Amino acid sequence: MKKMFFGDKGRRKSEPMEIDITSLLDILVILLVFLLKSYNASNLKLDLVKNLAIPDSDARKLGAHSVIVQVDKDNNIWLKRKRIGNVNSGAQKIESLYAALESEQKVYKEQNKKANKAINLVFDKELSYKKMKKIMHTSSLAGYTEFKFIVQGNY
Amino acid sequence: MGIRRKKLTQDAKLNLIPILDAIFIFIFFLLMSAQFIDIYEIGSDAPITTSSENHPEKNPLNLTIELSKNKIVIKKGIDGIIHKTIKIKNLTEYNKSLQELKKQYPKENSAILKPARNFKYENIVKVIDQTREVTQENVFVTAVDNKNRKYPSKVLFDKIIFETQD
Repeated sequence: MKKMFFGDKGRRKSEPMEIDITSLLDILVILLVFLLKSYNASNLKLDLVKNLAIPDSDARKLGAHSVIVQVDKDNNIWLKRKRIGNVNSGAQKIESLYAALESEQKVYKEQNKKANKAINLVFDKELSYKKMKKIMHTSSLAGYTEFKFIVQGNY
Repeated sequence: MGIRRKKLTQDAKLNLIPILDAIFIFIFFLLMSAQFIDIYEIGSDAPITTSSENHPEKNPLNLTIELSKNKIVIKKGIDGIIHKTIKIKNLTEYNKSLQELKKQYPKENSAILKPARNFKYENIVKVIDQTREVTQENVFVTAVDNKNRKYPSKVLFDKIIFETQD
């Protein structure tokens, strides 16, 4: 009797529902390829401040994690995304930057028992050498003598 | 016989669900680590003064590059003799001049950069790019390793030092 009432409908319900995931797989593979292409093995994580455009370069050396000093278009100096002063202040040595870098160096020395010499410098491409020199001079006074200029890869 | 064959073809279905799960997790981690601008570094050391305990070469190149608004002046030697003056726009010629110098001094790898006070950082990077490597394709210079063995290389003067004195 049951078969007479439900007939074919009952059979269809018991069959497992199959979803075609071929197209989804295609998308995933394409996404995977693009993500693998953009993968950067460097441990340097750069979070650019506003109003800062870094120059293009042919350099292909990956950056490494260290103190990051950024100088934007308006000459503001940023350390760990915190504004610490302006390039135009002071003569050759920028006191606010020096104090901040010195405290960074102190923390590093306590943790690693040695000084950190490398400093990542992220400058706006319009910055003049006069201002660059002030940052470099102050950094070297604070013990950071290995300058790493952060640039953007051009293809 | 017919029934057996049918069963065999039905069993050959692949279960893709665990692979899909793994790919999803992989994508999640890649998305987290993705940086959509490619950043690289150009290394430069602060100039240091040392005592003359190490005997320098008799005729060091002492390559000094002066950058001003319109021109690049290539100087060499301790006395700073002008080797060449090139227009700032003609960076290809500048690169070729450095190739010639590298042929004469294959062991040298440092260059002192002396930009003018108002020289833009963007242009400094362009000059550094031309100083560090041969930019033309299929052109190589002869470099010498520590054991005096010669080998073709693209590297010109990759140790950049900024002149910080006025």
